[in-house]
Amino acid sequence: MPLPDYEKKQYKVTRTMPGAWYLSNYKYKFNLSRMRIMLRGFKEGKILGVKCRGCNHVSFPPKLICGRCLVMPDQWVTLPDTGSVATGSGSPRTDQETGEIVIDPVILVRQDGADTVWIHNLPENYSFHDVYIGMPIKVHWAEELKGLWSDIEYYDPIEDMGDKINKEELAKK
Amino acid sequence: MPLDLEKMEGDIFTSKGMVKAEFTFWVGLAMDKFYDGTTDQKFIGTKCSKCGKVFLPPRNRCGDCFAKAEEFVDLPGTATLKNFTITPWKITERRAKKGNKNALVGLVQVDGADSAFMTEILNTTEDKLEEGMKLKVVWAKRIKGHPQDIAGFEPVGGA
Amino acid sequence: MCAKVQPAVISAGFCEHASKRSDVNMAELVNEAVEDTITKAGIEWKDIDCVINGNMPAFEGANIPELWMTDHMASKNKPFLRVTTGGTTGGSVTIAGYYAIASGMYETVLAIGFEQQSCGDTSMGLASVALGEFSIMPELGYEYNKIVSNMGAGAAIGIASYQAMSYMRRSRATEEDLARVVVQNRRNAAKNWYTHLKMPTVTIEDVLDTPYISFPLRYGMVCPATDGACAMLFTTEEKARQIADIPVYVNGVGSYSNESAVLAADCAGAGQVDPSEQLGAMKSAEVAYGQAGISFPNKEIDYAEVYAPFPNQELMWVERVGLFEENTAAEAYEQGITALNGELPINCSGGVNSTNAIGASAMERPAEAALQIMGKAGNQVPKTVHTALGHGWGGAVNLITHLVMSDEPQRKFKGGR
Repeated sequence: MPLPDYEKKQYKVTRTMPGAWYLSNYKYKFNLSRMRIMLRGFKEGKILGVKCRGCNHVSFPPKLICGRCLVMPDQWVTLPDTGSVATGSGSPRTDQETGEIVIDPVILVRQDGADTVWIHNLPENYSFHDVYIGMPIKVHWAEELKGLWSDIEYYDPIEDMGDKINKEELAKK
Repeated sequence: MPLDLEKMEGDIFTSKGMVKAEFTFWVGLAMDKFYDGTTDQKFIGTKCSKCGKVFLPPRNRCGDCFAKAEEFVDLPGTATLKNFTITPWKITERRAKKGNKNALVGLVQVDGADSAFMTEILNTTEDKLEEGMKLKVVWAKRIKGHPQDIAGFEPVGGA
Repeated sequence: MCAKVQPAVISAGFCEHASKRSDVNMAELVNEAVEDTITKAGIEWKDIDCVINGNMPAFEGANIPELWMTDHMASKNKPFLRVTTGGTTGGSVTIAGYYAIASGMYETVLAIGFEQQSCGDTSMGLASVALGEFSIMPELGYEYNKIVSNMGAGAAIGIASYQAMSYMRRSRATEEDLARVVVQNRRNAAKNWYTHLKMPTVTIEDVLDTPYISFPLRYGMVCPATDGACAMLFTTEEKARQIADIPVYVNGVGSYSNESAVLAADCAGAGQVDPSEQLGAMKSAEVAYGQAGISFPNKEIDYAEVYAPFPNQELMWVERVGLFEENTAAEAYEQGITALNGELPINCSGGVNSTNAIGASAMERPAEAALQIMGKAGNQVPKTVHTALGHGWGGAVNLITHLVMSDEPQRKFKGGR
């Protein structure tokens, strides 16, 4: 049932004139020095983050300039394959077969050891309701590593060891 | 087609924008009346309620008095040339190109109005143009209620 | 920070806001708001010394729109300044108006914020902040469709839904709490003359009955895209006392910028790991309160307008700016503390949830707060308001502005150093 309609006032409709921005006339310039090293790491199956010498802030994907120190970070660190869900959301769609509303999760991933987040996905058809903030996940590499963003196909959820360790320790006592 | 960063020289890469953004602008009550006028092949301007200045194309406020200018007045099709220039450039939505022929562009003030607007001067040559000469409007072949209804102005009395 | 002159607000005016103001072009829209402001103040347009204007041009596709509206803005032969900062444009224009007076250069300044969103496409305008990234990332293997669906989380909401998840996890607010905020805003808007979504009879069930756009936000909860304009008049303390019955003194301003959330430049990782943390809002509120001499905001502020296009943001901002303790905002709304006749009314104008003309919204918040102090608001609170707060945010939840206003001037800034 839709929301109650709001009170509207009718205004006279005047003519319109069209306009357009042809953004293909524009050329965007990018400094790919950091991207290049990260993508080279992807080709070898490694996750590389860049670290600022001034404040030790590690960013993955790598930043060009550190906002606090105003230098271009140039120290590279290898980060593990694992990460955690920093936050997420879901975009709903209607399932073709059942007609039910299914929510596809989209997550912001924080790679272990990094101080920044980036957007990525979980495996297809993963239920949104099983996603929680802090959930540990691991990179799922593509079959063929070509040195592109698509080398990380998605993130797989892994077992939450923190919970288990606690319970095992308590069980011993 | 993904690019191969290993083959790229230097660090700066240029990529072209991908989208076209489209807009539709409402013309407002004053200009709507103006286009009603061009559909009938006549000029309609607005007059300031305080100082009597007439604007063509019309606007609903007078800048010198900040008073409403909502009275519509009919204006004749004759005008005076206030200023002009000669240019080979043609400017479209996407780019500016140099054409083969020169276009004569001028600032014309319709008789009775206090504002001027830019338009093309037709059916004459560069050497005949001078400030203060009398012109009359040339309407387009197909009138649509659109800025292009005014094809240009030509000198009164032939070239 | 030392202002030479104490600035004051003497008038705030609006045009009629609607989904499509098809009867006016941009210049005429601004003209309506400017006329309303000047008439309410009772001054001559010639007394205005300077005009400041702002909007977000990507939404309407008219670059440098102020060229179009010199006559309509009462700015012929006057100094002019244009300020644009995305979603906080209105707030930045207001702060620019404040500085123009505080510097001692001008005596009367007109600040205008406007947007005619029906001329363009909202999702195009929002996407235009990252057009460069959209063109480079497909070249390096990140498909275009995937970028669009991930960034927007399915729609033009994008960042807000990520922020909502983080906030709801921490504060354990429920969807019913969000719907309650929406109902309060829309019912307040029904009593205000210029707002867009006037819904005097909407209920929580109505809001929760609509489908999801992106979890946890539903269609019934999001702000509209509105055409509208707003203008404010700033003067010096001396002149304000002569002209206005109750001059409103601007005692504190703060603005802050932080790392962006969700996507940073050059497709790098974004600095905000928890988008609901909003350190920037806390710091800029601190700066503004410090200038105004406020130590306990939840006791000393009588009225607040926060910029919340989505209900989870309203709950989050009132905590971040110090009006409520951590995680207690939802309870406060349930108990009616923030209603029209409550102890600390919030967004009685309907807020951004009911009317969102992007260039104007962040200015309408301090404008409404000022009108409440003057006693002339569309939906006036019954109690006397002495100190009020107007807040705005924008960008990728990383730009914040604050204005603290009161009916008593801040004595220590009078006279300069």
